[in-house]
Amino acid sequence: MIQNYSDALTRRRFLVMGSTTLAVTLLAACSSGQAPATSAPAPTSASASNGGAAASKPTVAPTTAPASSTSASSSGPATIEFLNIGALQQTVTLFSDKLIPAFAKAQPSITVHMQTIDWGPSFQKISTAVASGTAPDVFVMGGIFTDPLASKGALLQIDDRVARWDGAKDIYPNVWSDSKYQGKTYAVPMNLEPQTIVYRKDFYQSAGLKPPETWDDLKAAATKLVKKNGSAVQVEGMDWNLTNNVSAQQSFINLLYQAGGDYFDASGKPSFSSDAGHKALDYMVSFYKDNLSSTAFVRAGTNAADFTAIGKSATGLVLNQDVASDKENAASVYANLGAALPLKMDAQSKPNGLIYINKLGIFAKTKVPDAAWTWLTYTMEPDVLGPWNETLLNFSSRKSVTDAASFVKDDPNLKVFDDAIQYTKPQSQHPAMFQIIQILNKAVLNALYLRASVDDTLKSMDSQVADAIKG
Amino acid sequence: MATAASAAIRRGRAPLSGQIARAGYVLVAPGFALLVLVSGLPVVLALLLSFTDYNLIQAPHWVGLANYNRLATDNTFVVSVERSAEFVVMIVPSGTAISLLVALLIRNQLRGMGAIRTIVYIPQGISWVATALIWSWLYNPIYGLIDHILSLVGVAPVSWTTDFNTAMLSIVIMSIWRDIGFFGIIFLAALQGIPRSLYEAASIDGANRFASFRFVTLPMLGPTLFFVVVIWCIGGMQMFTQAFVLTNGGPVDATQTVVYTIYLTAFQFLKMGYASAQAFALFVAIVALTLVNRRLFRDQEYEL
Repeated sequence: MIQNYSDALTRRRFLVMGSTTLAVTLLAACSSGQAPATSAPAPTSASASNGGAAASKPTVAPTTAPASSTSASSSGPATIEFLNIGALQQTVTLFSDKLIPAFAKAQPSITVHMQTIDWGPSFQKISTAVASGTAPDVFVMGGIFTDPLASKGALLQIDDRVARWDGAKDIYPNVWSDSKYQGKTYAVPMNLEPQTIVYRKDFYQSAGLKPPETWDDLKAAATKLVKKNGSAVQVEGMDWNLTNNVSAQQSFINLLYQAGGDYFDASGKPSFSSDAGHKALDYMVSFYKDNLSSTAFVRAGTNAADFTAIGKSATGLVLNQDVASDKENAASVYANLGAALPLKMDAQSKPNGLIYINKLGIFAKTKVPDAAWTWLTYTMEPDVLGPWNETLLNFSSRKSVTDAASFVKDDPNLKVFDDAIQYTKPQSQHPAMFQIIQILNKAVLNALYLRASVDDTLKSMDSQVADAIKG
Repeated sequence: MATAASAAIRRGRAPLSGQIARAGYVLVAPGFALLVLVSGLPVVLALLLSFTDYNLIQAPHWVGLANYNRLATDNTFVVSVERSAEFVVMIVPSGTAISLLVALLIRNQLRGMGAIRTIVYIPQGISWVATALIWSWLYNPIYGLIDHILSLVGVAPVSWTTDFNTAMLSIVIMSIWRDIGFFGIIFLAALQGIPRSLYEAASIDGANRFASFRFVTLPMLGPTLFFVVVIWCIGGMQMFTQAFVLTNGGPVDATQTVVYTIYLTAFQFLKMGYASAQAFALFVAIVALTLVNRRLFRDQEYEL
């Protein structure tokens, strides 16, 4: 029996089987593992000359791409991989149907492939792609991406290009710092998310209160407007935007800036246990100690409702996107919402708030830096940037575009958010920023859950952040 | 020859001619190579990385045992080990008991029991992400079904996923709900494998239902219990997705398990070397836990 089996399975058959298996394995291994990209390749000469299906559609894109002194067309055809992080379906449609075809028509030598990804895994995606040398040529970057990526040589320095680019002058001046690492520019701000105060107009009016301007105003209003059942808060006086992400530290940083503090002192050491740090955290914690706010109110997972909008809080600290979303999804609720400028610590101080800035960066090892810059500046053109950000309900980084955006200028609340931009500044930048914000967030939450004193929390922030900086 | 062959068979090896043995090796080789490539090699590389400061983007530098020395003094890691242990302690005894109870209930050959078994097993077919999203709605203190039902009997709303005291419990309840079908079916198969003659003998000896369960069912389920406990311990120590989706490791660090910490260290902070050391520490902990379980269950079998 065994002998028969042996005869049937000859050495030649083994070799054939082995070779086939190897060939199949190699073919499988060589196939692309990338997800299909949302792409709109440059039209062929025929489709271009005929207008093409996509090009024949009405377009909001400029008919010509911006002139570049080092256009890709001078150095032959180029293909740009563009990672559009956080794009919504309407964003993808806009790019696929209008913006990319219009660009292809104006720059026929450059083909753009766009991929999209959620914000959640975006930093990991870029980091791993950088490590393997396959990062997209141009990609959207989040608020604290610049230093972690630039410090590891992953971003192209673009100071010279920015200096020659006319659009740079139109960008809000206080947001460029977020694109710099050690004084050099590595990204172009693309959109802005200012954070400021919103309040329930109906609650405030019925209590005869004015919108809060200072810390004392807010505390007094919260004390008057909070609703409790025993000690359990039913309607918060103030919602500090706790989520299951890192927003607790963002709210704390708002207050820290208002108190005149910052992440680091002049020598670069963490400075949270400063006088400003104490004032900020003491103030924030006092809302939880006095039962004016509650840790039961957390915007987590699918429970992403803005508590102020739904009447579970009298006042809140929210982003422009939240308000725009409330307006789009619940018009009846929106009528009760008002927005106010960022708080001042006291009557003598200036308003101060936090702003999150998304940017566009270029991979340091891109083979087509000129084409990448041409595409980047094209997307920053007013007729491109405006519609792009409108799909995201975000403010454009170009002041002229935001001021002209109908969804902003026709809405009194979003107009306040626009006005608030001048009083805001971004989070500090540091190569270890991803770790720093996690440390701060846990520390702030520990204090808000009344599990640690303000003093211990601030000291712990300083020591842990110092350790994180050391690596 | 026959003696040698039977000795080889006793040792678990059948006699093979040289040609057949070579054929066997050739057939096994692709699978073995694939295993080495996709499993063995990454493990070895991760072990090597654990002695470096690799940050994913720049070339790694050898740091010796620095990453391992850091583990004991890293409060975040130590707390995350405690959280994982807390999850295991909460889920393994309760989950095992409930799965066994469910298996005992659904082993009866009553009308409609097939449908009930299917219903019990259905959650196992749902991904962890979908499960966590569904339960985040159920746990929602404002819109959630659970708090609504509790309010009908006068219980105040519970902030299931955002309260320190209930966040881990909420993950445990959700995890048991999802895994009960899988482990219940394993218990059911084991129960159906117990010979009826043992129960009949126990009955003749005057054993009531509890005594039959204590002295027949449980001993006969020993290997299955061991399997379920070990698998649940390993899964518990590796718990990540539930915490990632449902609580994001919070509130503060109430549900930040070891794997969650490894994820943050590797992919948020880009400290691949240190994350590899954390992963190997977890590996050692799981092996130790499995050996302890094995010892415990071996003793139990000896008593029986």
